Amino acid sequence: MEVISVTGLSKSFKTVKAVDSLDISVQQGEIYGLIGPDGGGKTTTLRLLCGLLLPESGEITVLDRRLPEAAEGVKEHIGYMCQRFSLYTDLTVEENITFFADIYGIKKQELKERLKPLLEMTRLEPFKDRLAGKLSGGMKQKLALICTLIHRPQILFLDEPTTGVDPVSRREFWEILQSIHTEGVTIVVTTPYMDEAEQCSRIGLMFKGKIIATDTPKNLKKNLNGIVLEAHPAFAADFREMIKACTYITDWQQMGERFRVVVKDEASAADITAAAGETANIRRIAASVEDVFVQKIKT
Amino acid sequence: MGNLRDFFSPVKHVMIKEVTEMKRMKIAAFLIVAPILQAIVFGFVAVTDIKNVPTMICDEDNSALSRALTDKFFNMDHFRVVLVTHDPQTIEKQLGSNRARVCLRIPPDFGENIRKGKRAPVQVIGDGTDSNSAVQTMSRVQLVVAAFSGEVFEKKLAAMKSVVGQLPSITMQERVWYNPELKSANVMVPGVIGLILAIVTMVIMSLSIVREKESGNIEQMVVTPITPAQIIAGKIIPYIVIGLIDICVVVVTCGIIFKTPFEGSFLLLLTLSLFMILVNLGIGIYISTISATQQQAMFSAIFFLMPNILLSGFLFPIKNMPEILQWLTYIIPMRYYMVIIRGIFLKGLGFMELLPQTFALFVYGAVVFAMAIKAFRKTVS
Repeated sequence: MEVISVTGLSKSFKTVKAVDSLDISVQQGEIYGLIGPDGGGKTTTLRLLCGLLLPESGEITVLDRRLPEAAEGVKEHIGYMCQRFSLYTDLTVEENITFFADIYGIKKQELKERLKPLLEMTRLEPFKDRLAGKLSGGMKQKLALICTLIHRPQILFLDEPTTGVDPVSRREFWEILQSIHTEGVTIVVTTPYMDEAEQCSRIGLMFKGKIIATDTPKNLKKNLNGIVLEAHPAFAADFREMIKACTYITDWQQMGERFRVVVKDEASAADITAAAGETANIRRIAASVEDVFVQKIKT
Repeated sequence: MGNLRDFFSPVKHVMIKEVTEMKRMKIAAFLIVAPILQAIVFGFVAVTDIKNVPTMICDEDNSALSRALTDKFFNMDHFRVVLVTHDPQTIEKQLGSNRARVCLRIPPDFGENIRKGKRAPVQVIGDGTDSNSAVQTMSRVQLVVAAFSGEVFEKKLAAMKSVVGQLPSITMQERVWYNPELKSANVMVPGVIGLILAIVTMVIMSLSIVREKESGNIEQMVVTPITPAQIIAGKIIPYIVIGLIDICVVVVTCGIIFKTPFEGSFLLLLTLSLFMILVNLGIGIYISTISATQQQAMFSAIFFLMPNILLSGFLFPIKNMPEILQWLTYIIPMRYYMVIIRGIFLKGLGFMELLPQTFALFVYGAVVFAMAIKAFRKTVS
């Protein structure tokens, strides 16, 4: 079942076209990731989908309701977590949660029942009485997540929830998202991190206000036009000069002692392996979403 | 009733949150203590009545009459005689070094002239660096000299009584109503209420909205079913209550420390203050919609606050202003409120007498508040 449907959506700020005739379709129970660099229009898209911004043109349907007209009816069924920590730093963890539960009209008894598993899942139970402003970055994000989950939304919109969060907390945060996902909540998440794309059921690569590709991460990588190789040459400088001269290399990147090289086809892969010789230690590796993204924006 | 309860339930939670935040930020105590301090400071500092002016007398005559005049300046509240000299050279030195602010100079032939029935001029020299008090002090000196002149005149008349018989005389009996002692504290301190209401319900209130805007809290609330009207109601009600508490605090402070009379109805003061609060809230909410940061809000608030202090008659009488500025004061809401506060404190005016001012504030408030709410709805959506 389709829970979000967007066709021809556009939005400009002054002269900048932030979102340019976008088409998105999200199915129930998916984790849909909007992936792309900063300034690509991810946040604007998300805010349009929550009814926080008025679209310039195009149609948005969320949970069978047209936006922005029916925005009020949609609000109680969605949760939105914005990019910056936006809870009350002078209130405790519990007070923040209670405040949001109260304005959603959740009864005290019900709140108690809902809160317990949420606190357990996020491991915030011991910090219940700590001021929100005194939490670490990762804990703040988890608290914000609880506040957006407390009214049991059908769709959860998360705007760069892991930006500025340490790697361990990031991983933990995604584990929580996966467990929410298994409970049947549809999640729409934006992120500039390509590795997080792997966690999504489907992703849209967003660049300059447009979605340049959309599919499951697996399919996107499968359809990468080329082969990814990794080299660990004995003489990095020489290897570097060599690949710079090669015309059939579509993309390459030096990572310390290693090189990541994308070539057009099997023949080119064989060529470069032969040209570089034994010492280059060239082997094939799996493509990443980043490879796909780089290729898409180059063509 | 159900609808009303549906509306006020989220409002109540926003209020609880607001008060909890105030407590955590230790701002609640500040909002109660600051008005007391402000009232006290204004009461003592902004005193325009002049007392104990250091006075010197240069008596070049040194006759019985000149000494009699000199004696008049002793044991008066207004003057504190610091020096009596016969040498006019010292005047410059005393006034220049601020040891004396005013000097009465009696010329050498003063007693002689009076005895001969001639004009006997005396000179008053004032320190014009503080023009306001110089004018007041010099006119006080004039009063003393005039009284002395009257006495001399009467003595002469008494001597001639047997010849000319009874002479008619016109005397002036001065009465000042509403503030008989002309105590400036009586005028200043009630005015502090206007200033404090503006700070609490305009400046601090708008800062608290902008703080939530800055940190993204408002945006987070907008995606919940709460409406802008409910957010606003929940944000402003605590500040209205604090504003009213502050009025009580200032009234009590005035009564205890400055013995300021309170002639009118306290309930009327609170009721009419609600109209001023409405105006302040309107301006405050408007400021919060045009400001992205708390600094901006602070500057905008000062921009609105300054004319309200300077042109409302709080510090400077409107009648003394240039005509153009006098006209300008009609668009200053605090101007009307000052009349209301002083009217209730000092004159014991009732609702009917203050109706024009109340009406002006009501219209002002209704327009500004409606505009502010509209602007607020626009910024949140």
